[in-house]
Amino acid sequence: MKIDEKLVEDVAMLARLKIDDKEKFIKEMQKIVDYFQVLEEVETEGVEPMYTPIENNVKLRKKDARNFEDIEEIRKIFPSKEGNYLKIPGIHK
Amino acid sequence: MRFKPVIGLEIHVQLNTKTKAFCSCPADVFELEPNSAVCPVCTGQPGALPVPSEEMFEFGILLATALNCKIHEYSRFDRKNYFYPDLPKGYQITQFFHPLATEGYLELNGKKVKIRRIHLEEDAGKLIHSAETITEAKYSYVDMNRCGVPLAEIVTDPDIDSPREAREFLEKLRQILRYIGVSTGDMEKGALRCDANISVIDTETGIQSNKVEVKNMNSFKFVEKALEYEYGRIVELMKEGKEVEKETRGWDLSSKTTISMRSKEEANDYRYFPEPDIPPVILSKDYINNIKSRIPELPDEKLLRFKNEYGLGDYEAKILTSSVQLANYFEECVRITKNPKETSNWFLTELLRFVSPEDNFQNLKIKPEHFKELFDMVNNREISRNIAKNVFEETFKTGKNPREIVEKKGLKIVGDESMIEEILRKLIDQNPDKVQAYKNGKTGLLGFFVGGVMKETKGKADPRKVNEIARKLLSD
Repeated sequence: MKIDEKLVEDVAMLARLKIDDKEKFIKEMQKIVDYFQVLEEVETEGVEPMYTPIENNVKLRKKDARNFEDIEEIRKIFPSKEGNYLKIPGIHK
Repeated sequence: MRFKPVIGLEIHVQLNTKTKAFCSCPADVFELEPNSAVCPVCTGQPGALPVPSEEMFEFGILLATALNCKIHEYSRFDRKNYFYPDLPKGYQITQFFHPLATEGYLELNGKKVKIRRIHLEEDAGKLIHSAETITEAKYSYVDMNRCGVPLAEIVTDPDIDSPREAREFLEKLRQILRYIGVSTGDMEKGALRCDANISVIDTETGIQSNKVEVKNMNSFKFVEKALEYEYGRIVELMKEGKEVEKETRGWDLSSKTTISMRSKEEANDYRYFPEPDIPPVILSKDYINNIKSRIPELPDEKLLRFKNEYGLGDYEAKILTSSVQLANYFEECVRITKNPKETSNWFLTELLRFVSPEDNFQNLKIKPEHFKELFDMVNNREISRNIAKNVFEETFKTGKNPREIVEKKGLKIVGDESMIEEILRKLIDQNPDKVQAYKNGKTGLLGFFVGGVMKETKGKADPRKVNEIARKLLSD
């Protein structure tokens, strides 16, 4: 897979990242993708993709609702706050 | 019709389970303080592990059963990746590859609208913007209470062929949701949300336009209005031979039009992949059948039974079965009154003037016994129908016994012939011209004399007797 400027731009857009040095990312991403090419060498013809190593059934959660005991801890890590809201820069700014 | 609309719907239903989809936070967050029902799982803290709610599956199975779907014993979750501030994890847990249910239908006016799939997923949070519009806002505020609230997404085939039918589909779906108790189905509160796909076929040329997705329609009325507008817009373009762009448009309330929301270049790529944190969900046949057996009588079945069992017309039966509460209360009343037709009449003409089908009928002050008492008094000619209506209103408002009200206020019918005759004679003496006119053939004037007696007796005279006596005296 060839990484080009267009792809880097697309990925950056999807991740909502602003990227200045595209060349750097083309190189780095190409390295990562090439590394994963190693996996291509394995013969997978006719092998079902494994979705999870845990093939036994999931245990479902019962319906007793309770509040998390330390909500304040979560609010504390908001980088910016207004009241109890998490304050963020305007989305289309 | 030369231009035929082709409409498919994508509906999100908030399931009113006790807990969120993958954590124990409460799911009823509509009126809570911002960020007060959140935990490491639903805010996407590193290392937190989601565990699916059993009740979410129960509700999903109930819904899939009510919509005649094939329910899959094996389903699992996937990650839908996108970045937006209302989604703290950067992905939504949904069922992309193996949905809970597929291949169902909802019957609407004798036609089957096919359901392609129903899958379970989690809701995103809520954003509030610091300015009128999202584009002007310098800041936005995130409330993550809604993150992780369970949703059932219902996707229909493009079987709907008018904006009106789209609305009717949603109304019927809401009725079913309420019947089976899995959601409030409240569109205004966002418990039921709908996106629509619409394209148009030119039946003369056989050409079909591109599909346009319409969003932001937060009421049944707006779904119909937005689709009507969009249909018109597409038809205009087709008539002019212009290309209909494949795009997403939003209903704009202030201009009553749809506005383009996303350019084509910004095409999303959700990079779906299996959710590694949740093993597959395998439900046994017994488990599914057990939940299926809990399905109550559904609107169509109830409607049919009301018509057959109580001999009601389609119109009456439809209204009386519009909600479970109303239908149940009606049946309670009929058990006591033993008169479905009369009970239905009183429900339609009187009771529903004061209550709406969505109200709680168990809290009403008027009880089934009161209906019986009232009917008995009317049928025994103790009170007139008009008086009965007033008594009904008072019983409805105060819960007092109809018989008590009638006795205290002296509302009983005056059946005493001599008294009726006396009043009539007085009227005849006072209105010789009208008597003459009556005798000359203006028989409509009978009403004047009957009305006079009713007025004099404050509506308590037996109208049948008054008629009879008036006719006799006037022709003397």
